[in-house]
Amino acid sequence: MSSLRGDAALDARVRRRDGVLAQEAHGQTVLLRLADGGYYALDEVGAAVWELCDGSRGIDELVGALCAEFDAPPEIVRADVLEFVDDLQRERLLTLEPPA
Amino acid sequence: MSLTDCSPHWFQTGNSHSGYVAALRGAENRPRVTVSLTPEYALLLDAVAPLPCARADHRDWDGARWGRTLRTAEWHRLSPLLHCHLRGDEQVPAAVHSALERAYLAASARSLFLTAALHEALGALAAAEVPALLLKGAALLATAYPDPAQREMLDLDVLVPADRLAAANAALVALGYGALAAEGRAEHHDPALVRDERLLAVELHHQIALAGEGRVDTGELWRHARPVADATHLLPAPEHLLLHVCVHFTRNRLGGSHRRRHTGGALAQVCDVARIVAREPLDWDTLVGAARDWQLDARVFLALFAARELGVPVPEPALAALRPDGFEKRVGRRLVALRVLGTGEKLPVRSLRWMVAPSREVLRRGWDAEPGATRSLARAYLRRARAQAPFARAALRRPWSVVQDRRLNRQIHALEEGT
Repeated sequence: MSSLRGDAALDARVRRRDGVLAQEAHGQTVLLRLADGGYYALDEVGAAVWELCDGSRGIDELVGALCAEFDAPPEIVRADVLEFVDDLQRERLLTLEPPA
Repeated sequence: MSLTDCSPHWFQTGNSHSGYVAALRGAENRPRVTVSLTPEYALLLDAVAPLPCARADHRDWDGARWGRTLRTAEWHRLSPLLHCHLRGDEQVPAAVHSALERAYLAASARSLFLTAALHEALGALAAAEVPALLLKGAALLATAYPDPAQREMLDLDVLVPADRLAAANAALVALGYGALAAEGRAEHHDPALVRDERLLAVELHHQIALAGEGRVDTGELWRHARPVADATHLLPAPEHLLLHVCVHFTRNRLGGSHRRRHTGGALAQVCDVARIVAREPLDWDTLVGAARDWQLDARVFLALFAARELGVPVPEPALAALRPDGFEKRVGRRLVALRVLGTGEKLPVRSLRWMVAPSREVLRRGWDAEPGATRSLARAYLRRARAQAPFARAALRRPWSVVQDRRLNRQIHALEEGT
């Protein structure tokens, strides 16, 4: 599995894994990993990132979309996104794919 | 942005009456709440069936009272609903919010799992050309609960035509489902089907009432069922959905079975009634007609009476049309007090004879005995005695509650026989 700790992965496309279900739940988004029943709660910003992880975008495009949506400085958004996507990947919720 | 791992809480499945009385007069056609409620139950009912004025004032509650509230909500399977009711309320301690939110998120995750499993099962039934009509929880989620996390669903109940049961079973077996070895065939549905992980049971029904309850014309259920967009299944007509929820509520409250010895989930069932009444386009005359035709009027009445006593706006004319001869309000209120507004297990008591010398039929239906085999009957008798021993010991410590229970059962059965 690629890690975002390495620069090579920064160009990778981020995609939600198959077998992970999502549902809005009173201002949060619940993710369920069907394989083992593990589940997670995302806040509003996390849910926005999750929605963008459809396999068509790389990290930089994610950052660009979030900066536009939340009117935040790119350097801060980028650091947060890298950490967050790393968490999602570690929890087997996301996968990194080679750039198209 | 945050990612919170909630997994340890995966799949969650004694109060003293303080004399607190909520007697609230609402708008016209709204019922008065006349039963005695503890503050904890008053708060739960505010979530289940809101009135113009809240029943509970929780501003000065201490930790012990909030603890009782959390336990009571869990017992009645209402923690997720209570979370939604209290969300953003600054008078509620943070620890209470946190506990309720965990329960809500667990329910949300489970509903995701169940929805996925349901769609898979319905797809398989459709591919096998088996008509499927959703019942109970699955039907309620599709009609009365916009937020599926608010309604705990323990299993998936699906009605299929009696002559298609074998095909339906085969379709689900192909998905990896199998019958639980210990599960016998109930009168109205096949043995529950589960997968290896045992997180979900699917019950294939061919009927919605037990033989002793009434005579439901399932053809009517199918004829008035509502189609859904993807055409994989049907939903019951609003009146039939409410009727089934009411029959189930009364069945669970009557006692007399080792499986129905407590009030767990009683208020969740009242909530089901409240949601159907609030959200579904009900024709009350149709409901009354079906209940009478199928000889379920006493059972439907008792559930609607209990719901109205607790604040659900059930129209008085419909209730009057279903009222059994000889019904006394105090019997209905006793049902509410003993079988709804309580927590804890109780000894099911139908009669002393039923307790000590159960019929072969009781042993066959509830305890898997072979009626003609003496040894099998003896083993079933021992299993039953062993299972009920702890409750018998508890009952001996509270003999008056046993007397009350037995009296209530007798009164309710007399009502049923009178209709």
